[in-house]
Amino acid sequence: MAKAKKKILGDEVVHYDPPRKRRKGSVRPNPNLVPMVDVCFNLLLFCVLGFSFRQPEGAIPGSLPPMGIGPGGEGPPVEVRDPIRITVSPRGADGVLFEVQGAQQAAETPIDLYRNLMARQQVFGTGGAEVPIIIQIRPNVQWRWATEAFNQCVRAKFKQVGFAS
Amino acid sequence: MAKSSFHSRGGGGEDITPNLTSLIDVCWNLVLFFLLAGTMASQEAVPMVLADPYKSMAIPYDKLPVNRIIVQVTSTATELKDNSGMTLLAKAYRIGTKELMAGDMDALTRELLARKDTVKKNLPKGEDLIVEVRADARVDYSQVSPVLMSAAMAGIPKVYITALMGNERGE
Repeated sequence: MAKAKKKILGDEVVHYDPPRKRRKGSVRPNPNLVPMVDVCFNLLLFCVLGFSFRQPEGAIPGSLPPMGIGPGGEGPPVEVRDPIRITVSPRGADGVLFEVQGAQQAAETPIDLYRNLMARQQVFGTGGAEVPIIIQIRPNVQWRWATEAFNQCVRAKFKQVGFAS
Repeated sequence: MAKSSFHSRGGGGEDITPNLTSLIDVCWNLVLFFLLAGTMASQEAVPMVLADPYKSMAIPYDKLPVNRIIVQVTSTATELKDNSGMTLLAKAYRIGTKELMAGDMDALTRELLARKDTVKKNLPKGEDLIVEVRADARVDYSQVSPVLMSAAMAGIPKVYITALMGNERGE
């Protein structure tokens, strides 16, 4: 890199200006802020639109007993052998009661219902998961409690869970 | 104003290169907007309060089979934040963009049968058709049960229930 020379009249010696000294008087570069602002705006837009603060949703798998008019489903409802029946009823303004057939006490929370179901599975032994469950829901129960009962049955590893028609 | 060299007839015009950065930025913004807005619109999911079960066993959508008919049950609630514990009536059944009157089991069964015939042709061997019930959590069970009945009557035994994931409260 060529260095700046400073000539002094009558002097043969060449004086070099140190870079630090030269920079002192130079014009400060003005960075163009427009692209930076644009990039920031893009990032902001991406984050605002791309991120979802809602809880992610999914689907709990289940099945219904075959019946009705459709092909492959003709005939009367299929009678399920020795199922575990769960009755879901409303309790108070915002509560629920899960009554598992054969259980001494009705469950008031999903945790209690799960415990009841797990206890029932242990009674059945290895084939416990194959025992069908029929959930009977009172018409005035909120759908969320029906979903809750269904979820706890699936969580307790029961494979055949259906709603009573 | 400085003249562009392209238009100058004399020899003394200044060379001006148009700043493409802003143009590219605007285009990028538009692309991004339509990309995201388009994805949201294609989901056709009606905003509603979904059930949030304790230790949810719900499978995320990307791991679910695609051969499902989603039946949405909307509520008569005017606000999403209304969690007063009151049970509500269903407003309508919605399959895709088609809206059916709530409680109209015949129409729902017909619609499911029609869709079943269409989808069945494209189904891979050994795979069953699934009805997914996406209902507002506050609605009465009596408002959702016709959907389950219609699915059974249409000969679709597999029913999935939409729920949120990640609840650890257990209340």
